Amino acid sequence: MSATDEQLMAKVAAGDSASLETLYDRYAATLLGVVLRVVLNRSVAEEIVQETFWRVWDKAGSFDAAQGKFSTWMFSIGRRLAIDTTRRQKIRPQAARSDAEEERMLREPDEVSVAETAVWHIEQEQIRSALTVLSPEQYEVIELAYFKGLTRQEIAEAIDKPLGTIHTRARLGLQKLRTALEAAGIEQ
Amino acid sequence: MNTRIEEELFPFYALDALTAEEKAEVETYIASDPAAKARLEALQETAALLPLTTEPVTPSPSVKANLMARVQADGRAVAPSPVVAQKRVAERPSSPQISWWDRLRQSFAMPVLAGTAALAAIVLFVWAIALNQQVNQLQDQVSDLTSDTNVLVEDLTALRADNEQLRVRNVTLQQQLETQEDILASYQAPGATTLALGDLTGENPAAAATSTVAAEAGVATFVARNLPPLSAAQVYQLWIIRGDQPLSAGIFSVDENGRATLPVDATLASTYDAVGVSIEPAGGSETPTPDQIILLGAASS
Repeated sequence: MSATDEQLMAKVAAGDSASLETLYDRYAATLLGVVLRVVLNRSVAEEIVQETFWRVWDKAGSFDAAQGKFSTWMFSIGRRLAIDTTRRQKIRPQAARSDAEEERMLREPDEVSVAETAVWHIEQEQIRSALTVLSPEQYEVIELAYFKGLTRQEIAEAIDKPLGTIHTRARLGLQKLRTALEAAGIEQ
Repeated sequence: MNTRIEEELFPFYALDALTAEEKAEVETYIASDPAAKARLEALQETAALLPLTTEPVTPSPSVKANLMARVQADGRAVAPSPVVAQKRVAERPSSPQISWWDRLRQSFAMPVLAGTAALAAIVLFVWAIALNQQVNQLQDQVSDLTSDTNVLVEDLTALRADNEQLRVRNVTLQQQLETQEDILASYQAPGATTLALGDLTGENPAAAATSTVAAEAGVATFVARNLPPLSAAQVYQLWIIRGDQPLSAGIFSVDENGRATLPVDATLASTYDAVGVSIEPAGGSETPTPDQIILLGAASS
């Protein structure tokens, strides 16, 4: 049975680079997918992935499994780096990109990895399908908040809706997503 | 349960999209409410799965190679365990026995390798210079941003000070408005009567006052305007005069505009032959100082 993320992190904290490599193999593709949704630039996104795992290595001693899962901590680092990069470059975030652009980013230069994480991949598919319970409006607010790093006020301004509407969409969206994930038996 | 925080801020806290102030507000709130903390954690657990909704994209091999090179260069990396080391050795293709001919060929290859190494050193040197220039440029940009940030912080501090002044001013105006509304209400009360007081000495022609009594409501208010400022050793004193008997109705001071509002005992103020204001020593007097009465109004007979 393979080691859990948290077991690997304990080894990383002790200076075991092989465990870091295992974590990289496990999560780098998903992280790059997340970061690409924020920065929309492949080479910048890859730099952020590298920097994220460097920080996982560098800050491993401060990771506390009692405070939360490794994946949550690691995605948070990567996502925050991506959002900060976007803000520094003053790139105006957009709720969605064109299909052509998405296809281009996904195509180059490598194929999507599915090999070693079949079970996890199935779970990801279930999570993605759970997203379909959200209305487009609810999804848009969650996308702008989580993947583009916009505040409530910025979202209200970006989609020209009152702040109260933004609150309602975010709250109901997360509640519906939670219910759908529970129904699908996804552990949260 | 604070509905505003839970409905408005909790979802965006879970989505990590709050400002620092808003985050602090949420954290203060949940620190004293374990049930609220549990509700927030449930939302966070759901939001934590959002990264898994993205399509995975495999990074270029160079990303991992650069990362691991950086890690190995870091002093904290420990040597791989014997098992890992053996595995890595096993993964390498076994090298065949080197013959005397191969050794001879390698010896001829050495000068070529040395030349290649020298070329690589030159390339690395040029690359290092370019990197150094980039670092200098970035440091300049950081310096500029720091300077801009300092200016913004100063502006923010000034704006906060202005805001505090406006807030205090707003509170003062609100209090004045409430007072004026009370006075207006007393004027409009059924059976209310108002007596006007005017300048008695001729030295302050703009000075005036009114004494309004709403006996049924049990309210009496004295309002003065355009009274001259006094020294710290003096006060104004209001008198209800019945016949030749002056009764003190209170002492007061005026604001920078010479205004004053004084609630008066309605029972005392409802019966009078005249109402007057005098200048008295601090603390007031038993009877008005004769030549210091500056405002006077007499009941119409």
